[in-house]
This record gives sequence, C-alpha cells and structure tokens, in this order.
Amino acid sequence: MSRLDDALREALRREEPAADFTARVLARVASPRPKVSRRRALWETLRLPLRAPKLRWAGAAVLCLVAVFGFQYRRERQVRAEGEQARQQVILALRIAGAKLQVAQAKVDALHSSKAATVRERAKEDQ
Amino acid sequence: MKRLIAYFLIGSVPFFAQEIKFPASLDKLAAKAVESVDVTLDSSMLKLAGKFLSGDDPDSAKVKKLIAGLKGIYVKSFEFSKEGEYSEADVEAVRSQLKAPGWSRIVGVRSKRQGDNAEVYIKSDSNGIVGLTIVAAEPKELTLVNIDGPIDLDQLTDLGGHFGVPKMDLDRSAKPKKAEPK
Repeated sequence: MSRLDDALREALRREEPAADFTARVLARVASPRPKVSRRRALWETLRLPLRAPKLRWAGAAVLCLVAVFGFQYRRERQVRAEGEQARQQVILALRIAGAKLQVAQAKVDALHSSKAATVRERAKEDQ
Repeated sequence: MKRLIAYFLIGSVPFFAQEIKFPASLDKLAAKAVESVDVTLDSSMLKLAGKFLSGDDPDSAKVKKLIAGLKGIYVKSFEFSKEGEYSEADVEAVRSQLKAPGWSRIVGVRSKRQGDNAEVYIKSDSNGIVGLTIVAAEPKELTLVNIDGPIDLDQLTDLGGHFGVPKMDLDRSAKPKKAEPK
C-alpha cells in the first residue's frame, strides 16, 4: 500500500513551470492566427456530418443517383434530338418524292394532251 | 471464330439492308452542287421518327401510318449551277439495279429536246407495292428517291398539300407494266 502511495505521490508531485512559460503563452496569444487553420476548421465543420457512417453512405447514394439521373437526362435529350431530326428528314424525303412524282405526272399529262391535240388536228384535216 | 463471323454479319447488315444502292460516285457530286439533299433513313431511324410524329394530329398520323412498315427511305438530290455536272453513268448505275426481277417502270418520260428525264419504278409482289424508286434527271438537277418497303400510293397521294408535299393527282388505277427496254 505504501508503495502505491509513493508511486502516486511521485507521479502527481507539483512541478513548477519553466521561467519563460508565461512569456511564451502570451506571445502565442498575441500572434495572428494563420488563415489555413480557419479554412481547415470550416472544412472540418462541413465534413463533420459525414463522419457518421450512415450519413456517408447516404451521401454516396445521393451522388450516385444524381449521376444516373444526369446520364439518363442527357441520353433522353440526345434521343429526342435524333428523333426530331429523323422526323424532319422523313418529311423532307416525302416532300421531294411528292414533288418528283408530280413532275412525272405533269410530263405524262403534257404528253397525253399534245398527242390528243395532234389526233384532233389530223381528224379535222381528214374531214 | 464463330463469334467473329457473327459480329461481321451483324455489323454488315446496314450495308446490305438497302436494296437499291446509290453509287459512291454520287457522294462526290455534293461538292459540285449548289444545293444537295442526302436523306438516309433505315428502319430503326424510321421507327424513331414515328415516335416523334403525333398520332393526334391528322397529318402527322398519315405520315406515321405511311412509314410504319417501311424498311428505309433514301434520297439524294443535287442542284447544279451549270449543265453537265453529273454523268449518265451515275444514273445508269441506279437504273441497272432496277432491271432486277420484281421492278417495273410505271412512268418513263424522256425529253431529248429539254434533256429532262422522269422515271418512276415500283417493286411489287403478291402483297402489293413493296418498293418505289424515282429517278428525275434534268440538265441542272438530279434526284434519286428510293422508298424500301410496303408503300401505299394512295397514302402518299393523300399527303399532298400537307407538310409542303405538293398535291398529286396520280392515276390510282394504273397497273404496273414490265420495264421497257431502252
């Protein structure tokens, strides 16, 4: 028991600070705080909620969802643009096809009418 | 090896899918042309286009119905500033493919005086018309249209006056004739 008492007494014995201790403390207090330490403190504050494992997982899940929805949105926009372009191309193709069919039809009609006129003229001449 | 062959076959489908192939020389004409149109729509693009044609709008619904069963629409059109920019060989390369069985020329107008040619070919089988090709060659203009797949000419005619498609008065009773020798 006395050995334990002695050990405790030895460990907790009063020690006087060094002579320049007060001066060093006052100098530290007076010196300006480095900015880095404040930024780190802010960053640490922001990271504080993520220190909890559940919140960290939730954060990762939210990031994944944002990435997936972002990709999906981009893909849908691309498909919509391609579809709209295809629609316009279909209409353009049908317009050209229609115009050329009309030209062909007009030429056939013109040939028929000129032949009919020739036949009529010959019939008149014969009479 | 089998997988490689399968990949090759799958990959080469788009090249063989178009029944009437426009010659590669036509692509060079685009550089000479003052205006050119190149439309290449295979079945997947037509399906995609169909999704963007509203079924509620009657005009869009007609186009949607028209393209529903098509395998492809291909158009090459060139307008030149002067005559003689394209060669007869460019057109002949397409015409020679239209001599294949099943194809018939329903309209063939050639004007030596004006140099205008307008030809309309259809491919028909027991189900009706399954292909339409238009060759319109003028001194300063060349247009080739190929519609691959079952096409209803009545539906195409009905589109006249809508979407800028000119009104057509085609003789619907016309029966396809065999291609005439030129």
